[in-house]
Amino acid sequence: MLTPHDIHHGIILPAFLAAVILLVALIPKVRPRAHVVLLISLTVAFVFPYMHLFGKPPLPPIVSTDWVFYLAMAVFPIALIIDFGGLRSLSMPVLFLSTTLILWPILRNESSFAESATIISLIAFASFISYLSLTRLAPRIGGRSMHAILLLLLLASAQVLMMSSSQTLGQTSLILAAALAGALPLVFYLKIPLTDGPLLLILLLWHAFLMSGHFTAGLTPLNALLLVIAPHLAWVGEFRARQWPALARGLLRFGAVFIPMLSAQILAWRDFVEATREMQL
Amino acid sequence: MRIKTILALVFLTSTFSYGAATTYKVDPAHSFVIFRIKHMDTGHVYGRFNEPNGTVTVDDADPSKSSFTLELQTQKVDTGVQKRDDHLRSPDFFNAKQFPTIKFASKEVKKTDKGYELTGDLTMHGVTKSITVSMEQTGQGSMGPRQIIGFETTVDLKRSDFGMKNMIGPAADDVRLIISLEAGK
Repeated sequence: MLTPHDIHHGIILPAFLAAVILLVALIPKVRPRAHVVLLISLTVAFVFPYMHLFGKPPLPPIVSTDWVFYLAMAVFPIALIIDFGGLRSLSMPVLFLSTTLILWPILRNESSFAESATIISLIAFASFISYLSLTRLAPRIGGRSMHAILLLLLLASAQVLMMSSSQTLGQTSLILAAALAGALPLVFYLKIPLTDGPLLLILLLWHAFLMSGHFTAGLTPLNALLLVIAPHLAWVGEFRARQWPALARGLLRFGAVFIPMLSAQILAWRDFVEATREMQL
Repeated sequence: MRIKTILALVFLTSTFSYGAATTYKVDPAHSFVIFRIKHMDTGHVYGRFNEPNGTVTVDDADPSKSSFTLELQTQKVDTGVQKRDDHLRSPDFFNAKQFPTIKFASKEVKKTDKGYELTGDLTMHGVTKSITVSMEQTGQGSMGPRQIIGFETTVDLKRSDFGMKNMIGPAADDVRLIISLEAGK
């Protein structure tokens, strides 16, 4: 259940911050670098509300999920280097580091060193492939479509996480979703592309929420998988459907993304209703 | 003469063993760690940690050398409702996957009229804090060949002191622990 404080700091504040910071992109001289302003707006709109909602975590954090607070800031310069230098491969060590920081304190309690290292490596590699796929997809479908898709996915993830026994992780996902929502109007108006830098920030945080949700809360493997593969199904509009009219392609794309996303939400909702039924007896 | 020597040795040995500390192991089946927390500032919710473990070392000759340890598995939290237990194990509360145990280890023990006063480290949710509790000895006896000893205490603490700051309001910050231990050897 979200309190007024949760709504204010976890939804309104990030949306407001993202929108206000992105206004800088309206300045004609800044417009060619609007994607950088977008990166700044998303970073600030995540970090400050997180701090207001959960408190500034110690460094190093005691709870591994709190690493997202510091990772969001640490990724910023790397995202800039990737955007200006085209060094997508830098994302691999970053994703490996974030996966290790989030999962190692959890896995070490139950798994051996080899098992933990294997799991972390596989997940980090999958995140990297996911990132490469989305960085190639984004220019094809346009920044606005990709922005909208990721916004919907983060909202869906927030709902699924909250129904998977973790309001905290759901709220964290909601902060990022609210930031994307706040930026959306100007992204659409200025046609700001979703370049590799901001994509890395969004993907890194989103995957961190899902990893934590699976390994520490009740996010089922199926729901996690449905959410992770959802954005990649937008590729369906890039093959045979390339000859279709733009509107039809857009609908196909969104439909393909919606199906797994909605499935995860329905499954989470069903499990939640069933489990809470006994609490009402 | 030889018999007298042997008897003297037996007497001295028994005196020595009487003065030594006795270590008991907490019996998970006869020990209970129950917690109470207010829900929505309205009613109390009770739950427990199943299968507590630990040791009780009692030194009657020098009570300050006695010691108490207790270990609880956060995965074994039990409030009678599966969904609520899953929620308690999640990052919203105990974060059981990252912090699988709650531990108490005494560092200073003082004898009191009713039992002992313990000062020790309580580690929960990755945070260690020093607490002082009054442990009442509820009894001592035997169960078959086993020597058993019982203790009980109540501890009031704030979960936010241990980094568990989420959902304060729906679930209160103040938590009462009622600990009843039976240990045997």
